Amino acid sequence: MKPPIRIDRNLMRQATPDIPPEFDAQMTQMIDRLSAERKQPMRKKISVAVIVAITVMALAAGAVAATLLNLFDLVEQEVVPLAQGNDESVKVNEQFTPEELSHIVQLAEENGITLGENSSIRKALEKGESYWEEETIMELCKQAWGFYPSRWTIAQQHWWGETMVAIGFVDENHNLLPGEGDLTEEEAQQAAMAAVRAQYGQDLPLDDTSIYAVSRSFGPEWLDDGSYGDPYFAFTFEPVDLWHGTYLVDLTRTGEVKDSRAYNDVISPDHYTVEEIYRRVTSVYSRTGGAEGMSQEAWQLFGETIQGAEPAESAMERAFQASSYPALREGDLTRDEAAQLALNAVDSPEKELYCLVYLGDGDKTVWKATVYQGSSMPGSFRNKDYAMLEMDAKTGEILRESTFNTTDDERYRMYLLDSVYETCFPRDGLLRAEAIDRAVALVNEGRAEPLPLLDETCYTVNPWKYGDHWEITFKPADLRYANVHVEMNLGGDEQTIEIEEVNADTLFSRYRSVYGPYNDWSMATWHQFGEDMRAAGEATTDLALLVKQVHYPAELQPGDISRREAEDIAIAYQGLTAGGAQCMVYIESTPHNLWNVWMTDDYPTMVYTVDAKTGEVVAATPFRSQDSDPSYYVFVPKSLFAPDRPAIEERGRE
Amino acid sequence: MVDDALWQQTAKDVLPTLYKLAFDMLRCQADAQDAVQSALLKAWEKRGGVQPGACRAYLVRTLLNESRDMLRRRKRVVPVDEVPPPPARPDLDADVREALEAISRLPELLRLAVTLTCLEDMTDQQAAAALGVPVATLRSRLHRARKQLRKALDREVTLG
Repeated sequence: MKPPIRIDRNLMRQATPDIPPEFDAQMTQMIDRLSAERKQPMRKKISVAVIVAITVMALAAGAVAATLLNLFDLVEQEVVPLAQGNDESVKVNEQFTPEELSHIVQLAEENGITLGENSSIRKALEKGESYWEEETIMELCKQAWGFYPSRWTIAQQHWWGETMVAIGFVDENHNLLPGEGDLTEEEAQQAAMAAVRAQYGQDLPLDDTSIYAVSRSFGPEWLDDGSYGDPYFAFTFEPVDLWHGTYLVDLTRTGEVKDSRAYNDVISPDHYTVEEIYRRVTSVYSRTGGAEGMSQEAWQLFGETIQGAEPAESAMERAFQASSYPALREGDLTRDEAAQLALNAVDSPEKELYCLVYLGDGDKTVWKATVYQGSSMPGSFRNKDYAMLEMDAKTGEILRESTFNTTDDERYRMYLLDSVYETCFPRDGLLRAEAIDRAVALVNEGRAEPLPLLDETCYTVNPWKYGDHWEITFKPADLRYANVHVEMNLGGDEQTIEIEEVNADTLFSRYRSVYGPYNDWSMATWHQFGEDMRAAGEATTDLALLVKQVHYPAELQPGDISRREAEDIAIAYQGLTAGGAQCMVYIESTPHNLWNVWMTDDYPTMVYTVDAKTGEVVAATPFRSQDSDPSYYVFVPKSLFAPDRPAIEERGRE
Repeated sequence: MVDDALWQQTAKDVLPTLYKLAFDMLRCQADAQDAVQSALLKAWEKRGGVQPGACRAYLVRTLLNESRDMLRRRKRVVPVDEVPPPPARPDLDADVREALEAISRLPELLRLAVTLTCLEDMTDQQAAAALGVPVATLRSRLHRARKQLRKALDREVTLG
């Protein structure tokens, strides 16, 4: 008998790897450094009168009206109803279908919102795929209002929040609007600038848009008990160049300064490190926040700037300082040409350019492309890799091909020549693909008939790197095979291998691996499961022993009630509102067949046995946490299960 | 507002959990480390608006937002199933392994509710604050999570 399971801290701690000690130490140092170096927040208050005096202008409400109206109308009248309309009664549908996306794109274009070539909506459409509802609306808004939502106006942010509530993405809108008696957004921004200048310098170019961008929000403060307090304004003045600092100001709704801070990230042009420049250049020049999203001009600026950096202290700094990111030379392939060449060179049903960097290599120049390889075969591990190509920038000749996978933690490889990367970053054991190959070799070593572990029709591969070791599980995709687990150190020379046997005891888990959770099995699957169990030889587990005694009809016998009818009878008998049964099994029995209906909407969980001929509920079996596994109740007639129950429970306790 | 010493201590205390949460969402060591570092920096910048009792929840929420942003950026180029849930460790007891696998297959909203209340021993109020949802919503998610786990594991499940 299986006992109930308690999911607690001890169990959850085993779900994911612990923080790596070196990273823990690094972050602890950073926390200490932040606390030691940063200035204390300013607490000086500025009066409302001062704030009003420095107010320059009111919000120009009509300035963006033409686009706003189109977007508001489009989203409110078309997109939101579509999102709401595709929700089921018990479940919120999170994606638009390709048909819905197509309709939205057409409407957007009619309203003057043209999605770019790299639009994710377009790409989903091209692939005939669904796409996230909130991402779709976000993309439309970004097209109209700008890429960074934090830089949208407070009114736009509020409207966005309302829309997310309307489609069921979030429960509450925390992007509020200033009310009567509150400062307007423009008044608040002027007050915020005045506060920064008063504390950090009157000559700060906060209103120079070539140097600073402004992020803003108006939302509730969190209180001790987790509830929300008064809303307040938060402004961040973020530099869009390499050499200025970040300033943050929080204001109450009426304009008193709650907090004012300088994020001490000013980089001195006379004294800086490669890492500082890397962080700043990716922050300022990449929309994705990662270096893969930087333009060639940004790389060039990065390359030029780090020439004046302090001597390198880390592998990353050494690697970047050993690299060059020149301006595009005359006669070399353009970025677009290189991108097309890279995509053409990758043989994959789906592919997408992820990163493209122009590098110097002695007197040559190289385009380094990283291409995501999509897959039309779910579960395929090999096609989840990124292809990396180094191409002669003049001739387009492919000089080197390799693969990259996020599991391998080689994130800088795509920005560096392989030769530089391999010199500066020593290998840390096997890469993912190598680990899988090693695991396959270990399992099949000495086997007369090797297991087809890499054949996707036989197994799916689940490789994972847990800090200091690899764990690779091969799950069967075919009933002729069973689970195989390999655990080995990073180098692959110390290992443990667990290969389950193909027998009656493992049939249930193999069926679940191949056909999914048994709750969703069809009558035909149940029928075959019963037949296979009887043919599977000797069994030792309770479940296998019980199932061997049961027959599951492949089809509904004439005159028997349908699955839906049996479910309705059970729900009515239960007397509670229910989304439906968790599992239903049709069982051969005398004098009539039975429907076992497992309901979990009440507690304790109930299994109702419905006479398939008369529709009468002939048994209602409660399952409490101290009882045995409910699957027995669902899989077998109560008459068969009950006599064995004491013995089974006794074995379970043992 | 939270003072620096409290922030410093709370950040250190919650650091292992931040990493586990980030790893749970991103399933990539490098990304998880980036998310933790970025969240700590952002939480530090914004600490002025945080009440002392809400510091831990605020750090967790900042981390979740950061991980979610990273996930969204990744989704633009990588299908959702690109990074599979890690297989549960084979050295674990079979029941525990099965439970962990079932948890890893829960939708993110439900999984986070379970993780925060079970891993971090947060109260419903604290977990709701960390997730930025009302307490009733959190409880509803826990109920749904428990229901799905019961379905997946074919056995009674107790959370916490």
